[in-house]
Amino acid sequence: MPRNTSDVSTRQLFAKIDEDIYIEVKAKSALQRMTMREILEAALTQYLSMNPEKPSSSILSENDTYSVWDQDDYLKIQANQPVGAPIQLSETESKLIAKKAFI
Amino acid sequence: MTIDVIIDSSILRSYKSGNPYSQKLIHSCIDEEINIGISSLSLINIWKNEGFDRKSEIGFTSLLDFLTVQDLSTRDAMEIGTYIRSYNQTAITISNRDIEILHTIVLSISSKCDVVTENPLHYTDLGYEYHVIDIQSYLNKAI
Repeated sequence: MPRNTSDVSTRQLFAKIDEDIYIEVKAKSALQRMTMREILEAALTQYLSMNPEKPSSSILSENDTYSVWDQDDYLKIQANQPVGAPIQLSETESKLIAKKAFI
Repeated sequence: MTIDVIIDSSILRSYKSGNPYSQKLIHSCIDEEINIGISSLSLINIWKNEGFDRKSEIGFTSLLDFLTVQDLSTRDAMEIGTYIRSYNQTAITISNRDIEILHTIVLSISSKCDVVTENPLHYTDLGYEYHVIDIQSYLNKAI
């Protein structure tokens, strides 16, 4: 887990990283009130296998749930169709999905 | 319909990631409290991602029902081309993302509204910073 820098020596890191990853990490860090430094330290610690536990924040998990997809049989079927398949939604359905699809 | 603010693809990506600020902004648009515009070129940068799957497609397509998507007009293309030409003799390379940003800038000028982005620095790199604002600052100011 992240260490307090007050009692350990530190090194400064500079790296250009993929923008999509950066934006996702930034979003989750805001949600979980973690600094980018804490996230990087957790990720690096996990990489080194110094701590076999996953970071408690599950920041690196890609298994985000799409709860809205479980609420409606038509949506369940549609979610398994290939990208580009036609779909028809009512205004109410569109509004629900627009708000809940990525939660 | 008057557009209140223009967003770029970085806001849609952070919305997908669950950023609470992006959620607040986008939900206010879905609830018809504000009108958000977006360049059709921004959609390229969403749809082209390797991780773009069927759920992303349905989610974003539904969201587009509530956003005002602005296509690239002839006049927009001329203005962007003129801008890029000014960089021809420099070491600066104009990327696809830069073209999205340039169209977003053109739209914000014609709509007389702010650009809200996760990456204001990208706009500064292109010599443009007037009315470009990060999402937290925008929410503090407007909502």
